[in-house]
Amino acid sequence: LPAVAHDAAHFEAIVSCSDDAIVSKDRDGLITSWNPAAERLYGYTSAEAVGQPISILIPPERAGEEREILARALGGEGVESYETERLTKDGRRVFVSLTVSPIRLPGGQISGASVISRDISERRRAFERAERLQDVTIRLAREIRPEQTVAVLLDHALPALGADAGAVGVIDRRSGTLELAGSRGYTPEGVARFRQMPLDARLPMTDVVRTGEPLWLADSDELWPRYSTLPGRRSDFASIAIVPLTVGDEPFGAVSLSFNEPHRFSADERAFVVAIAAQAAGALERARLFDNERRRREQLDFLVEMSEALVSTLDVDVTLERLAALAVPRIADWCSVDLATDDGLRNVTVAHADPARRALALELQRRYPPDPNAPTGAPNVLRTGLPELYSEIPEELLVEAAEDAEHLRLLRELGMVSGMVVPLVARGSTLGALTLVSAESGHRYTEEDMTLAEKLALHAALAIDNAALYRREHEAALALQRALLPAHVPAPAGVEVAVRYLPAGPGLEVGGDWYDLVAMDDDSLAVVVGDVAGRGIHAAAVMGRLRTALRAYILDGHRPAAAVDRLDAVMEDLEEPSMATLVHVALDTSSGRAEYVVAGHPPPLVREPDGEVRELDERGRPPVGVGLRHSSQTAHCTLAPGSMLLLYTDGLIERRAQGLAPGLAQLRAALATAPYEAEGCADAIVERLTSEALDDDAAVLVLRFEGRSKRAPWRRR
Amino acid sequence: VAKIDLSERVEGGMKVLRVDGEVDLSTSPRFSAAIDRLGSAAAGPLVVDLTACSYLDSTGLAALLRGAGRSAGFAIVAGDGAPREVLHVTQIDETVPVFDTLERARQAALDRP
Repeated sequence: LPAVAHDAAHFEAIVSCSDDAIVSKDRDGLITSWNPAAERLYGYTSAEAVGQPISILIPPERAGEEREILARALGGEGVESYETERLTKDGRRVFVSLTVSPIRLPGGQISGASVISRDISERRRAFERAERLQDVTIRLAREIRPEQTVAVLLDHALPALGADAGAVGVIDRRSGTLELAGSRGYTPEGVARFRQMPLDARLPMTDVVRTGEPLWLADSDELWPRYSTLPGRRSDFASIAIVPLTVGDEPFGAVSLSFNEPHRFSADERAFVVAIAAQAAGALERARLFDNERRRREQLDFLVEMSEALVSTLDVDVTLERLAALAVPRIADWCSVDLATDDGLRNVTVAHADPARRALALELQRRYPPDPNAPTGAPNVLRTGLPELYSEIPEELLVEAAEDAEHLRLLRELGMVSGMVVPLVARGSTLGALTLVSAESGHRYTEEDMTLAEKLALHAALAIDNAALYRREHEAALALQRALLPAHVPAPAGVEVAVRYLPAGPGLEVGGDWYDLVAMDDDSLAVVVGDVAGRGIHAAAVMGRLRTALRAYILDGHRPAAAVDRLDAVMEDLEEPSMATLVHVALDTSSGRAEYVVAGHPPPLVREPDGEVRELDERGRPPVGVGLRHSSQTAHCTLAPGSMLLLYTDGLIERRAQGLAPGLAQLRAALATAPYEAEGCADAIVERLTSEALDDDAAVLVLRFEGRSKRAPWRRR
Repeated sequence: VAKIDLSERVEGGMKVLRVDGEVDLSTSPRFSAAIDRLGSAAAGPLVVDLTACSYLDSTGLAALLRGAGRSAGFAIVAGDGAPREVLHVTQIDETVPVFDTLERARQAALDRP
């Protein structure tokens, strides 16, 4: 018995000194013993715990687990190193590893169970952190956007350490500050305060970025003496951990974690934060490179889009307006384009995403036109041909530029932050200047932006140059066309004739449309309308030759069929193959009888004196000039006195999306209701058919047949 | 700017040039070059299929007519769209055979001695 008593006392001593919580319970699950380590782990004193059911330690969802453990112990079986969760007195959950053994009475019956609980919370957290680190690594590897990378970093680092708030700061080399790239858990005022920190500031985060050393401040006694000037209340956070984000040897930012309660950072926690920061740093660097690449690609796309927009029109002002409209807001908040003129410069366009702001700039332009001798800005760039970059537009620059107080007020109102002026240079001469200003966006232009602006200017300058070249050619072709086509044609007695030549919409080259009228001595009158395929000077030149050749055949006495077939032969001698469609009508001005050939041309229309409109749809032959050597079929008709004959080219009725039929119907309707007089009729038809810009040039000839009885005198029109 | 898609194939002893899109001033040089090249190639008569062509201007007509003048058995297939109307108005359908379908063009080619 003394031996047993000695053993029992010895056992008691061991139990009370154990670092492991040792608890025993009876067959009913009531606690019968409770050692000091159990008090430390679970929070209950021995007096509080003994006599209570063991279930006070069991989370509700694990009640079944406890019944099973007790049943096994009472059945004589033990449980070893069973990892589970238990509740403390204050409701926290702790991870424990349980070893349960049956307690046998000397007689061998089992009276209860002893439970040894080892606190494995820290081990468990370390394991979770390892899992989390693995998870974070995989996620970061997937992220390609800096903001997403920052979000992944914060969303994992905070819960892993139980931090209450966290932030990531990244150095902005341009402004020399550490900028907040993302944060969690801080008040809006806190975020606002640390949005931009000068790199040389005495702040925990900037210190870490400067030194490259992590900072672990466990409580306010460590924190506040070092950062007594830290804005905010002393009670804001008790503990912080800050780890630099480093690629190579150079820190480019830092992760900061803040805790409301004092927090001792275990070696394991420190290792975790350093590891996750290293992963995030690599991911951020990749994201930055990717972002640069994406920006370059966007710039390229922008330039491609820009050059497409610029080449699709040949009008200089329209080109520049498009340029400006494309530039805002993508690369500037304001964009203005000035062109060099003989006596200085002319503002072509000012663009801003907001029309009200644009009005402000226009007002400024109107009230204070730029001085052509100004030492900076567009006038200077026009003179020197050299670009200007203002990474900042300080107040002094505005004061210097302002002519008076009102001017200064307007300049200030523009809210200019940064600006660039680049010359528009083509074939060695400065055509104008492109001004790009950032305002609302707050963007500060750099050399890199300047490179993009210069590329843009190059495209624009080439487009302007191209448009000017085109305009010269277009004007030359139009001049040729006008020289080849008489504006008025002499009409013999008994007929009244009106002609119109309608150029196609702006930006389109002149076509090869023509009309002609040849009066002979024998009362016969030849009326012709034709159309050479193709555009530009070539088509106009071919038209001139065809018109002359056909006149010659007519004057030589050839009837329409013979004249047109000869014209077909003439076209084979042209240097470049061409094709033309035409209508040739030979009218006897005394009788009204006519013979005609329609060569691949839309049908002439006749309005009878009673207003009915009919088509001269007898088919004559296919177009001339394609080497098919087809003989013309002559058709006949008679014009009653008072009827009107309308010849035209397909440009008048053809709409690309609709074909010919709707336009022809419209033309018939216009002719039916047009005034009973050649000039008025031509005006009415032109007005009706050109409500939209024409896709193609058009020629129109209206002939009103009076008949000889009217004895109308010869007239010139 | 007009869009055009030209596809060439040899089918049933005919060379078929299928035009998808618009033939106008900007696309007719390509159209014309394809006709010239195919027209001079052996492997049977050339058929230009305009079923999927939504617009045909006078420069396109000129290319067709030149093709017709140079290559024997030249034919055009046009459904009932804009090109058919233009081929009719210009009376080109009186000089160059125009068929409603490719099948009819093939049949006509087979019937020819």
